[in-house]
Amino acid sequence: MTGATMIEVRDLTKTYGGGLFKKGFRALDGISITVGPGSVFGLLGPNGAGKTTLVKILLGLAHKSSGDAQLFGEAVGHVSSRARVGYLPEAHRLPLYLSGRQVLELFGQMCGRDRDYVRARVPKLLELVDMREAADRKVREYSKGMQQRIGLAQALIHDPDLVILDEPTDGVDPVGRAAIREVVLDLKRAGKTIFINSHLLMEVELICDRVVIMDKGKIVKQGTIAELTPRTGRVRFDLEPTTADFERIVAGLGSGFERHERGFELLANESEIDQAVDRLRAAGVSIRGLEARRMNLEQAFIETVTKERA
Amino acid sequence: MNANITRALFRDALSQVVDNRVFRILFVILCVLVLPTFVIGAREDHLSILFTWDYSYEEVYGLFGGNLAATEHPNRVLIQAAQKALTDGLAGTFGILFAIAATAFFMPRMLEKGAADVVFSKPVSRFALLMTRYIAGLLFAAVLAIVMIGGMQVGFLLVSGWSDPGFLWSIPILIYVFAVVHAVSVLVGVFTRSSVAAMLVTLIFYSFNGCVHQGWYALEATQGGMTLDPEQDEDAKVDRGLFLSTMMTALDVAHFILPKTGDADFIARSVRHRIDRRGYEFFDESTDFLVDQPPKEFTRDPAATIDAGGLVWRDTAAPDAAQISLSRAPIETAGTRFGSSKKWLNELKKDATVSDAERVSESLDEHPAYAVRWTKTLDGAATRRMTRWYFESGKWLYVLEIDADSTWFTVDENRKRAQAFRWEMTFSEASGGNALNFNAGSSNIGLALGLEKRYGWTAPLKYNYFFSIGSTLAFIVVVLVLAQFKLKRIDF
Repeated sequence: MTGATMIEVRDLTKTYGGGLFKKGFRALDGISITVGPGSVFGLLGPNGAGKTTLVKILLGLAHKSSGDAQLFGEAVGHVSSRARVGYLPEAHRLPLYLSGRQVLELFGQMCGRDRDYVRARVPKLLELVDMREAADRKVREYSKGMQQRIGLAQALIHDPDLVILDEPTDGVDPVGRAAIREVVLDLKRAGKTIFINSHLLMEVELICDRVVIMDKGKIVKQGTIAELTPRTGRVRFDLEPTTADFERIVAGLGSGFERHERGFELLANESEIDQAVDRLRAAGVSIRGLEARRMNLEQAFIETVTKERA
Repeated sequence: MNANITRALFRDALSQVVDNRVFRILFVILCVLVLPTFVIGAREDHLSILFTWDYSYEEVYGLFGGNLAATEHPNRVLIQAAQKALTDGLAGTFGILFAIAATAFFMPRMLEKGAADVVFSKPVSRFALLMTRYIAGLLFAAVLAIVMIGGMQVGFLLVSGWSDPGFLWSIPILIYVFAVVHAVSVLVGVFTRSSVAAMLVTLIFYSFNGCVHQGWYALEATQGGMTLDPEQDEDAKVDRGLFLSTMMTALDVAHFILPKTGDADFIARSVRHRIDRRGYEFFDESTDFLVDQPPKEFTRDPAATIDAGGLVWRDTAAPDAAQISLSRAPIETAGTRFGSSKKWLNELKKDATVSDAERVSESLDEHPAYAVRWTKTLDGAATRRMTRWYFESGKWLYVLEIDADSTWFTVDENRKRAQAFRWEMTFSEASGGNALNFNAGSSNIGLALGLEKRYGWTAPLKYNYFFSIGSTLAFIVVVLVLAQFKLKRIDF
């Protein structure tokens, strides 16, 4: 394993509840992934796929059954390997007896940072997650969304190199979700490595460089967003003027013609696309855009999981 | 674990305690209970309320149907009763129960899904987190104990002018007892992750543990008559058959394994007793016989010692008018209280200058003695009224003598002073309160002394306080190690 990788997992398995006469439930079944520095890594999968189990093993919250898992080149479970990780758990519960500010101070110091460092950093993070005004209220008075935002801030308080976010926008309204997405993109721009476990595929698609799809404890597909979302064969034409009779112009080429407000879409091969371009140009139509259509991540995910289960 | 983490964990523990609603309620209740010590001054001869209204003890005791005649130090009696009621009753019983209930959730709540994920993903070992929650519980008990006992101490000192440093020992003792039950609570909390289970099991354990030790003491008491010498007990043990022997063995084993919370009270008394001895007028290490204060307005002869002529105190205002002395000699040579007093009476009867000589059986602080009283006519018409008490303590025969001019005794105040001095003598802590009845052979010593002799710092291992403390601490360690063993293996 290389020291430069942030996360390296090899043949990781985890069985819950196994015993001498009991088979137990296999939550992870030979998982292998590598996450390099500065990347945004998405972990997708239906409920019970083993995503959270994987994250918990990485953070020492659960024990592996076999295989190998490392953080920053150090075996997981070591206290020191967690010092450079910021973690926002799914459905987390922060200490209700503390205020938002105290939560950040507590967890900042629990990560080994001194009080001056933490106190200097708290206002920035409160600003970042838009919690400055409510900072001195007790956590028990916070709404779900506010708790989620303070939870995100506590994950970042010690300026970690690796940020693991488990359902970061869970329970957050659309505005808050966009704000959290913006925070993640800022982290990405700052060169932080981000590991996201989310059901919201649109977010993953927008943020992640690389995605792993898991099901029943196994990796069923992994790659970049482009690799996971294959072309559908349809091509979108954005044209000018939009009033022309496009269907007549491209008649006989490809199939599945569909008009839209700026042009049309068509299922066609490369030669048919060339011919369509020629006919449109000959008819005096300007081509403003031409896009080979891809599956979105949600479609790819559903297709992958369905195929796997079949 | 670096200093920042340690500081953070302790601050968190304190925040958790301070935020606890039961803690706040108990805190306020204790402050209310301690408050009277700051507004009611228990002075030598009267009670002063809010520094304004003074009431004599006769009035106050009369309200409750009390009799002051039996109370030579009403302020001391009152203060010690308040101390005892609050430490034994409130803190020792209800306080511990409340504290168990209020801290039982500390561990389970940290282990709840969601909360555990946040905390245990930080670069802090599970052991450190376990210990933090354990210490948070101890802080809970410590703060309340300090507020109550420390507050009372300060209140009594400032307002009543009463200082009892030994009383402060109740603070570590309460924490010591709570350390045991809280360790059990933490263990159950880790295994079940349920606050209710932690609370119930701990309460059951606390009661069961108390029963085991009470039972053990009771069975010990029935074995061979309970002399102060455990070896004598061994000789006197009766064969009780297989069942009872097995029960006794099981109880013995349980007693050895389980923490000895019941001993805490005896240990506290013993420690207090040792601290209190400092500054006493006279203390016999070997028997615990002590003289608390010199006779009121008497001055001790500086040159006199107990073994060289005896201790002598003279009336400060009229040194020749009255003197009190205390001397001792080995029983082996001087004889017993019975023989010596009788012999002295016979001698007095031969003396023509002596009249009204009598010998009666009397007790000093419930300690058996013989008093010999007589009047001696001096040259001229002057007479002196004298009393000698003969009593034994350990290997010694003690003689306490009051020798005063007869006119001195006609003054009420003087008679009271002489009488009060007898209250300054104690042969053990009078406030025993244990059901066991110790019989020390010819010497009927008090309970605490008996306990300390049998279950003291120098007693054989089975009865030794060091063993009691050591095995209790070992129990705590084992329980916490078990908790850590389980905690380390939990998958959150």
